[in-house]
Amino acid sequence: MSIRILCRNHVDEDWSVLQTLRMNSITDPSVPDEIRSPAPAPAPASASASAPAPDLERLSALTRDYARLSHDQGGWAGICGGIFLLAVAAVEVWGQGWGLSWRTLWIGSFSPQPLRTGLVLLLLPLLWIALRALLLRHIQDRYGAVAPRIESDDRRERELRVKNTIARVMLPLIMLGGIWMLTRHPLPAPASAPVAAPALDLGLRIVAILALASGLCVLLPRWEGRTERMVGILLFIAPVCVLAGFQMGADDTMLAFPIIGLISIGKGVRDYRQFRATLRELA
Amino acid sequence: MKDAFQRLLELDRMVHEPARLAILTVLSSAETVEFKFMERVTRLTKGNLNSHATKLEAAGYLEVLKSFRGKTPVTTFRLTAEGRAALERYWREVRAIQP
Repeated sequence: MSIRILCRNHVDEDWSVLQTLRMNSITDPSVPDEIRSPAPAPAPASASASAPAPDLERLSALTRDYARLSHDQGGWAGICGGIFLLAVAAVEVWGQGWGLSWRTLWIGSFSPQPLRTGLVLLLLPLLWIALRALLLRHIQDRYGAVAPRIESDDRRERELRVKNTIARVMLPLIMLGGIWMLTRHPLPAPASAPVAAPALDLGLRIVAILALASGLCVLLPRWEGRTERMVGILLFIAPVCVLAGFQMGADDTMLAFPIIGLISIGKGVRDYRQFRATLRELA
Repeated sequence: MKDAFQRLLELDRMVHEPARLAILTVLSSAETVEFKFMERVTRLTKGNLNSHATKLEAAGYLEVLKSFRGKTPVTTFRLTAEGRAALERYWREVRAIQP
């Protein structure tokens, strides 16, 4: 008899013991009649007894997929993040009074944005974080939480440690560099800007940058996916730049928003489809 | 050399039972798994799952963690190092038996 058949036909031990007792009791007069009586056909005691044996490899793959995809809110984190990045790009252009031209896109750079733009941009990463938490809660309430397995592969661990160290060293350096630039270099003349310059004074601006950059330092290790990390960083950088009064270079920084946004939406849609397929299989 | 049947009888019964094998397999693929997901993926009833989890916990193969999400109590399972070793040993033995 093959192991596979034996595994699938394996029934609850209690039932086997009772059957054995019944078989022995046929010739044993001391056994009570209720046990000696012919055994009824074994009714399915539980779903596990009646259901076909699950494919263990499939179970394992389903668990891994669910853990990974539910962690990304079934693709919604990517979709929302991408939409928010496109919104950042739209807000930036709106801040210029929709005066974006090919010339400014390729040659010039954006002028300082008004404070209201900074506040609108500040809402987006906060909304993204809140939305992710709500979606995760919804998925966990409905299907249960599964934490992805931490790979014990030494190489991967080393890589992660190096990346985390770089991120943690780079962020304070960027923060300090930004503050140094703020104190040393005067902002461009507001007259050159089509809109009013930021109304925050230097001290408040430094506090705002420090607060946002510290928040980013805390949140960065929590974002595990590459796209997720990129979306989070860009969403935080946009209000920092505006509040600091930095010019957004249309040729480099600005183009990153719609490009990463579209990539994020594409990845989110792919993850969403995979997640639906996983849930269909689970149902 | 032991024959296949003898080795079959010596398999770890705690792991060999299909429902428990499914539970351990699911747990081996994740860090922690909530009761609700385990119930859904293994298609076990609540009582059955609870009973098997209790047996596995008693054997030291899994850890049962109780917590609250808001006001809702949440039961989460985690595979212990002993449980992972037992599962790996079980598959090694099964592969050794198979022709």
